Amino acid sequence: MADGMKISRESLLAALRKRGALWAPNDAGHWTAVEALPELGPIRPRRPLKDLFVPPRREIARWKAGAGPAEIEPAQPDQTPGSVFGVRPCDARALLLLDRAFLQAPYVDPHYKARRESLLLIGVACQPGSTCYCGVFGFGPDDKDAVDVMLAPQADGFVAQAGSTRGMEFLASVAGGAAVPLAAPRPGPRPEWWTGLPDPKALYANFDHPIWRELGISCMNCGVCTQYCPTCQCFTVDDESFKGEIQRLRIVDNCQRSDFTRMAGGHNPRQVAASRLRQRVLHKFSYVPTQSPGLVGCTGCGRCVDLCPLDRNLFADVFEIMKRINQEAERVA
Amino acid sequence: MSDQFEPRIVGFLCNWCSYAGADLAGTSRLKVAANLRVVRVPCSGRINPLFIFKALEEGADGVMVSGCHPGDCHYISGNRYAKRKLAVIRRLLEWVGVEPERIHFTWLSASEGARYAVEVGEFVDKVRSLGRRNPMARQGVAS
Amino acid sequence: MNQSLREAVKRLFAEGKVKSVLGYREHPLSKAVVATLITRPEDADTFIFDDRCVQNLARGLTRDLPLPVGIVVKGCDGRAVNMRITEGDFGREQIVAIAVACPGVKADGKNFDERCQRCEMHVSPLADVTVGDTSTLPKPEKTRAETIAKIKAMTPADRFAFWQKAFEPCTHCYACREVCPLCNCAVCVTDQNAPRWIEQTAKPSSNLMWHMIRAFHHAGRCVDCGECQRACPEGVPMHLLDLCLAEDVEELFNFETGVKQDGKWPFLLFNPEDPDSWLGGPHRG
Repeated sequence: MADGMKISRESLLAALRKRGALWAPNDAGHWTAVEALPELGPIRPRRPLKDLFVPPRREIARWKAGAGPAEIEPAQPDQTPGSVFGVRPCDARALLLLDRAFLQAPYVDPHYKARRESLLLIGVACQPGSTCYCGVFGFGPDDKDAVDVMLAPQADGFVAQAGSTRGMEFLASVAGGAAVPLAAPRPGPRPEWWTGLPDPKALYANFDHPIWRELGISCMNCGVCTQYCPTCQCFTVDDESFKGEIQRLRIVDNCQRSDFTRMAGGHNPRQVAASRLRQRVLHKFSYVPTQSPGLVGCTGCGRCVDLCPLDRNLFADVFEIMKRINQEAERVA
Repeated sequence: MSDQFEPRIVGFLCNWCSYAGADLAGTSRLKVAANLRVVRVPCSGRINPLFIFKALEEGADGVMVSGCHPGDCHYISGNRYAKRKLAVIRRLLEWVGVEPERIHFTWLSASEGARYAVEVGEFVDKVRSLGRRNPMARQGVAS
Repeated sequence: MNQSLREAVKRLFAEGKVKSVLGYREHPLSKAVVATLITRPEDADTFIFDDRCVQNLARGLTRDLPLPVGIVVKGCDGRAVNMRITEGDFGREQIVAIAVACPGVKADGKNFDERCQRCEMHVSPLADVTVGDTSTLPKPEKTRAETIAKIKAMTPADRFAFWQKAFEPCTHCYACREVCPLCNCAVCVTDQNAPRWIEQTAKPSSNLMWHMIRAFHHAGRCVDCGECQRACPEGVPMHLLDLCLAEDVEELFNFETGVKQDGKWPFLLFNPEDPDSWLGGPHRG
């Protein structure tokens, strides 16, 4: 619709409660079930939205130890209808990258699919901070393309617009909305020194460049960036048991861990710390765009920059790499 | 009263002195509280703190470790290293909130069968009087 | 300070005493202070030292660096390097310690870190070169005992509840492990799965087990640099547990971590005079 819809917090909450469960970020920045609409900060919460779709610990089956063959109970996908309030454009766009991993036929993850289908995404526009970089990826703090509803906070409610058909249907169920003109969407922020996304092929062609080692000096591969990244979704399967009760789990894994690529027999192709940093950069900025043209494996949420204990900046890394590659190419030319 | 719970104690006994002492209690037909499950280790110095922590996590209400008297260790000095390790293990458990009554470290020689029976009995009584399971005990596979 | 530091580093290169140096620089783009390794003397002009230099560079000491390696160290950092030498990771001759007179650092940009307020060793005990004025360094404003007093005063039940709440947000990201200069096992105990001692998903039992074992592995080895707690994205106060055990180690064994590199460390030794009262508990004297 060309206009937005002015709605009150109360009528929004009533419509959301009618739909089912309600999720929102709490004060600690974790996604939790809530009864009321919380006050939100200016930007995305500490934990990424992926927690609700790719939880760190997901049961996929359980059985009991005992004599005779075990009866395995697969976990049922959770179809409980609900809504998520406080979704930011960067986290919502990140779900599109998770879709790429979990919804591609023929290997569709039933748990992920069930949550994607049952949770309505209620976006809230941001007041971008100094480490917000969504502008690098061509969208901004008001972007509605990956959410069902986008809300612009006002003093006395929200101005809402639909981002999808199901969002439009939802807004029709919210009482007392009045049409109001919409402000033009704001451009997204980017670092002041940023000159553009890197060339995926040039990055990969420089796989053995010494700059990776130089950049790797200041990285400790602690993996916080990957843990909190809304697009990272590598997982492993493990069993946990207690007193004869066994659960098979899908748990998050982390390519920054030193043993991520360690194989039976001990060979580890990414033994060197810098090679894991390289993996992270290449996966996001080279492999994803190469395999899925139009997509980049990052949405500029800035958590990696905020939370890195060693104050690194992945975007600065990418910038330095491309600058060096381009300088060398010019010298050769 | 059904409030009384019967504590389950895990005891790590060194093979050469303490386990032999426990054996002597048995062959002497002394009554030893059945609450104690024994794990035999070659030496008290072999104790990895994880043994004690995992025993508590798996639901033991108390943990006992017994080695040879200092100076009598079959491996000469294993128990002396154990003393230092066990001292810090106890301190850590107390910092974390496990009641000090749940942990019992002692030296028992192969001839002290009677003392073994008495110490185990007193330890079990002490743990029983706490009246509840240790807080570290896990409730289930997801907790 | 920056100028004298840069000159000292250049001198070390000129005298052939180092092949590389680990130090701090201000990143030209992000303006954040990051670790850097230089192999040419002219690059020493990027080195800085001020109260933004919170990181412990000792964790960056790996054996594939061009040796001998120089390293800029604050008091806490230098103690960590001493421990690495004590434990045999490096030979004394492979490290050149550039000790800076550190009055304290400010991770939040405003106030001195909590550990700096307690610091009794502002200058590294391992010092081949010293930079800055060491005569005007501040005295400690409080003690480690005061920091852990609130836990000491709690009953067992309150203590248990305190730590359950403290560890509840832990996501097992292991940032605390990766930034710690003393966490250097080839295979960490939590990565071992035969047997699986410590489960890696977040829940009350494994959160507690991880942090207990972590603290135990650091007993007598932790140099109170506080990096673990600073690195934690969830604000888990795991360093507090390290401090509790540090008090015990000092009391029981009269050992101050990282002051010497003589290889004498409490758990590697025993003293026949070690009293049985250490075994503690209500059954012992």
